[in-house]
Amino acid sequence: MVEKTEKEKTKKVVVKYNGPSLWVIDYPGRGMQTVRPGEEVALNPKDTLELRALLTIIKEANNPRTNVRIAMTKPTKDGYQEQMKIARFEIVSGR
Amino acid sequence: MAGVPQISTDLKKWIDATFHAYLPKVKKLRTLFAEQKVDPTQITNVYTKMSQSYAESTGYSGYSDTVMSLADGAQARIDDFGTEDGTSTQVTKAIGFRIDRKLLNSAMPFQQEYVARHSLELLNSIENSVNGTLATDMSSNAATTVTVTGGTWATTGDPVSDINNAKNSFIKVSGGIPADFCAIHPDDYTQLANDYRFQSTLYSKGSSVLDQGVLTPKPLGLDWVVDTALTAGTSYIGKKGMFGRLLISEDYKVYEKDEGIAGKTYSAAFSFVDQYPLPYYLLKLTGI
Repeated sequence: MVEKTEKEKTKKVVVKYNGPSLWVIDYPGRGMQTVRPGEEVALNPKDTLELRALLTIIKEANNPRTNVRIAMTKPTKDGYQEQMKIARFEIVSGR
Repeated sequence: MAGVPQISTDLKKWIDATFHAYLPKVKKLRTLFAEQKVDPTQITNVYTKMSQSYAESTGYSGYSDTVMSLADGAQARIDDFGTEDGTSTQVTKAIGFRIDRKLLNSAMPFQQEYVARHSLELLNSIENSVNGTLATDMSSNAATTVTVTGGTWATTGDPVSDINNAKNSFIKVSGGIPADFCAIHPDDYTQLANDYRFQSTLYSKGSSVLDQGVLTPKPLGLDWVVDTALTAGTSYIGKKGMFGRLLISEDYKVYEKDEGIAGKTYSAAFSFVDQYPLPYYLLKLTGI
């Protein structure tokens, strides 16, 4: 019972994927989770497999040179276009 | 120095000849790109990138809306096709070395060996730097990311399962085109040879890892490009020549400068632009 309460207390870390195509998380023995662009995934840091996924993503998110995606251009108020850069992986909560 | 003509006095030509003879042997990661020579001033730095995604219900598609069955008299839904602007920058890599006055005046064979060795080191250094830049750009442009959570290959991970699953994800996003290469860091490539399935001839008949250190020619149906320019723990699976192009605006050029009493300096430059018009033909595999 105590263990269950501990699990309930665990704060999951939410990661948002903004990449152009898919993000696939491969959990051996559990199957693959496919994440579409714009979707969020809650990862449990107390679960070994999810923690490994999370560590990989933290590594990605901390590299500003590679963690970018050029989003579509956005028209500005004065009629020009502005190019938007967004982070591919964004750690939304759990910091 | 087979294939390099005997030139003792014109060292610039000697360096050029060394480059010509050895370049095909040292270029690694960049062989995956579609190479094209372009004028250094006529490069379009902005290009169109196509994006394509996959969902179980719709299959692969470049549209964000799903294709609907059309009712009589209704209009088709108009949606933007998945294109976005990509930007690229021309990058020049250059380095040089100096040959002292005394060495220039020497008629000993040592002089040629010295210059040839320095030329090779120079070429290697530039190529490594080019490949490093390409690796970083491949990382930020790969459309699909596959994260494996079974542990690194050196610990509890399973290379066969990881690569097969990544190939499967690739084929879904690319709309049926299979991947044909895997670019990988040597630290991770070693783990293939440590896998008993590649050691045992019952599993892979072409392998002779234990007696000769040779893996089966195309493990898991892929061409393996092993390059230290990549980061260990990350590899790329893709379709050669289709995911990106390498516009070479200035192929290796050697510049000679007379420094008077100090000798002569020889510098080489290489300029390029890398673009990724079809990034869904490139998949990044992390956590291996």
